[in-house]
Amino acid sequence: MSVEVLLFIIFNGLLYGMFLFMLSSGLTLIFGMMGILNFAHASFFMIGAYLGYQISLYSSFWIAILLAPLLVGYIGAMVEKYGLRNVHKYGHIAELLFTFGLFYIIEEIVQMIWGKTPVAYKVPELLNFPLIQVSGMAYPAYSMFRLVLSVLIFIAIYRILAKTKTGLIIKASLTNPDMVAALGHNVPRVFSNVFGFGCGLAGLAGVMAGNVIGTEPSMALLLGPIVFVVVVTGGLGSIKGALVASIIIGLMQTAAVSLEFNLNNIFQYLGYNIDINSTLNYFTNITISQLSPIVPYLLLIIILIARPRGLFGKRDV
Amino acid sequence: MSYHLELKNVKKDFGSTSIIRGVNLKVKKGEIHSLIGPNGAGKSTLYNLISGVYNISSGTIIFNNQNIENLPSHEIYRLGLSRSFQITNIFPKLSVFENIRCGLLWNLRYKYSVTKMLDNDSNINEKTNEILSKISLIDFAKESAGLLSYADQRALEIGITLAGGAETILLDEPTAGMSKSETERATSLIRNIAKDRTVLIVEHDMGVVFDLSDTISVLVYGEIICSDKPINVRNNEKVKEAYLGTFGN
Amino acid sequence: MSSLFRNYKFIFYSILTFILLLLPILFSSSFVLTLFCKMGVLIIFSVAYNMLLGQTGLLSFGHAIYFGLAGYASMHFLSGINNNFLPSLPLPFLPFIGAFVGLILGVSIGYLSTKRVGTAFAMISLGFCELITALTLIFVVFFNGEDGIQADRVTGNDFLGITYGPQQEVYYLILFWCIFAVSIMYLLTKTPFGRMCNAVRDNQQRAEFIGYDVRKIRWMAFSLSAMFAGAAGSLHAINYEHIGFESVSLVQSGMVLFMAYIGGIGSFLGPIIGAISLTYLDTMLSDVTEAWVLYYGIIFVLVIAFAPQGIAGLILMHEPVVRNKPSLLKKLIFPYLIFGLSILILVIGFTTIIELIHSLKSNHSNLTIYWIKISNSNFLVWLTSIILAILGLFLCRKSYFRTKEVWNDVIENIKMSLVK
Repeated sequence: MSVEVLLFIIFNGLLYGMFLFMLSSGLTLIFGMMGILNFAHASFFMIGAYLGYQISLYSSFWIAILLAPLLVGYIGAMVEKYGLRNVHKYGHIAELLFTFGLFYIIEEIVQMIWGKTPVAYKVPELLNFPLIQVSGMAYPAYSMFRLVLSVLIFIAIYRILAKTKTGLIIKASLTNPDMVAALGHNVPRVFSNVFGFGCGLAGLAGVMAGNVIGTEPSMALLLGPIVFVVVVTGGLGSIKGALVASIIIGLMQTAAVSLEFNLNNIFQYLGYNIDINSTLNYFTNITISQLSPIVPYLLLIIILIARPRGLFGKRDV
Repeated sequence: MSYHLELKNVKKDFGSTSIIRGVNLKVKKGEIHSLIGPNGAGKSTLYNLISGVYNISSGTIIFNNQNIENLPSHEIYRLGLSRSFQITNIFPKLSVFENIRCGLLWNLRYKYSVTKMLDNDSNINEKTNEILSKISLIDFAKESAGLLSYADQRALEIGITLAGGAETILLDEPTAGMSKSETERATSLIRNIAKDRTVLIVEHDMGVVFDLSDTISVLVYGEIICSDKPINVRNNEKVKEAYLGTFGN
Repeated sequence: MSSLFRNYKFIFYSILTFILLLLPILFSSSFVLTLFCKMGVLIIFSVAYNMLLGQTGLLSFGHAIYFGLAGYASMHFLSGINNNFLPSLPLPFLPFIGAFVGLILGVSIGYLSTKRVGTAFAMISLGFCELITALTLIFVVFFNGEDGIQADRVTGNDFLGITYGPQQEVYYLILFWCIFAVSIMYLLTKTPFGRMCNAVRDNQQRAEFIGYDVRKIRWMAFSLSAMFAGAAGSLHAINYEHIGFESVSLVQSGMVLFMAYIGGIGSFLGPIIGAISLTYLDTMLSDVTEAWVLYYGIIFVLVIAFAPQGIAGLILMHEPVVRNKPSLLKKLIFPYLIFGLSILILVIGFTTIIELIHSLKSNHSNLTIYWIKISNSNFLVWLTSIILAILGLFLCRKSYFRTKEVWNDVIENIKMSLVK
């Protein structure tokens, strides 16, 4: 493997990983604190992308990136307050099912408003110029902007959790939810705020990524499950875990995509040639890059079976 | 002499904290053996160790001449050691009848059968009714167990434990939270079932303990400080010290 | 008394079977027959699914795997017969192949998944679902990508003189399998295994302390549920003579979850009710409205929040009233009527708004809703539907609490009479 390919993998892996982090960090907080595995988390991401598009249509991208996450966060908090809270008494499985239904509803509403085809959400002109070249590929300034912003977000969340009172309450709730309530904190309101904050983060990820990966109604379905992979791998409620897991998954998947390697190559190396007309060839000619979509799900299953607390979690899922 | 249930130097640490610090306990066959001790002495933990909910850190537990430490709960149960719980532990959505019948299943060797139709099986249904009348819940047979009163749920729980047919039963605070008349009912129920069984009880109500027990063991800070007949325990200096000391705090 | 009751039951089921046998004669249109066939298949699938969700308390997001993969296996088997590559198996026995495939998959995937319960179990099932869906698009030789595979169900091997060409004959095949599979699943709930499934669902720890290995119970439930899902998948493939990757996907898994849940996971009849009503609505409404999935989702979410025991639960909760004091039902009629009316107003207002919004996307400004022609450029139409929706919402809230009050009175009344 050449240095160029390696550089390509590392750079793209980091970009993709930081995108995954932005997408999932909110859910890590929600899941850690409330035990709710929000199936609709990627739907809030999608709402963020669409609102980003709509607002930048009327004004500019820079207003959208400020306003859209706030709106998404507000929607999230309202969903918690008027929806999830009523279901809470039936347990976590009912909550999971509720968000599963919500996932369908949001997808349909988005289709109703913006249609089934992708919308033309563009990268802001200001940052749409090639900034650096990595192994022959030019990266626009916007990619660097996203990378830097997501690192800043990570630092910000980390700081909030470590230094502020809200952070203390959130962290305490990760280990002793009942005790926090007993100490007189308005846990329902904290829940609403955390849920809203988490959704807002997803919304921000949507505004930032929608113009790169394409803003369309199926984006939630495509990205939904991978959010769980990050959250579960990183560990319940661990922001650091979410970051590490995102980068690992980002690197793994980028690496897998760039490996045009298959069993035939190995057999060839060992001195056997597989007849390309044989049935066996159907299986042996499948390259690692073709298998790359299954990598995250394999990781999800293995982690849940072998180490359900993930990389940095304190409790089992 | 060999004992029915014997714990030898059993220890349990949670992280760096020792909860059980070398317990030696001998339970004779057919007796009612009470385990008492101040709050936090480790009584519930000891039960969880004996019944396989937790693994022990070191030591041995011998039941019927067989080592049972660190076996999974269902296997310990199958050797004939059953238990009730401090928190009511029943099947809340099943009917009272169904609760008892489920308790009988393994005992009557139904195992995982997918072919036997239970409703037409007069053997198990009669036995279920027998137990229901023994615990005086026959009138509520069709009700959902979760709707029973607290005392009835405790009775049901003892009923499930009975249904298992185990010759040795661990009861965890069987009268906790009960009124005086309910306690009396529970006590007579325990005396009734202890006729042909070995019973180990954890209990806070000293009236019940001294009334029922053949032997009393006192657990203080993860160690048994005394194990003797009720009358001797009452006069034991170490026990007085432990209890008065605790009450003094 | 009990034998009399059993006789009634027997008569009821005989009449039901008789009606089901007559259905193709009463409704000869192929559209209706296809609908019935679809219902039959989905009844098996959702009852099988509920064996896991309702009976054993395990939420799976990946049950379509067994449904879909068994369908693929059946299609391959069928084309194997057609190419004289495999021995000729009469079509009615093909679902056994599907059931076998489902069982094998259930045993192996279940072995891994049942190590966990609750949310972790649900996530593992989701992981497997996505994994297998991705594989169907990778292993083109077996799954044929997005096109899926098809095979002719008329193998030329007339079993008892039946070719299974006409839809009517397929209806009888599915009817037979539906009665057969559902009866077995019903009887399973009466066995020690079936009862212990409920016990494990209610209280895992207690189940261990009556001697059962709870994981083994979960594993068995998982495998058997997958087996019946496999039989259903096989029938699905036979019915359409085609199977595609969407039948193993999350969408299919979600659909069976919706059916079981909306029907009611607490009772055996629930998933059957769910499968029938949702298949009916799906077929009827998908032609009329584009927003069907939205309504689907909203119904699901409302059921979770307000009626977690589903339609069957709503019906069954009246059972104690009927048993003890049927006269009290009269008290409930009026509040129910008012509540029903409020819901109707809300539904009319809300759906009209949704349909109006949808019509904005199309070129036509006229649409027909509830047999009335309206125009989306008419301001009054918008205003009316918004007022209806708000009024309906308001009335629903009011009458919901009122109905609940009356209901609580009735239940109190019955409790009091029981104590005496």
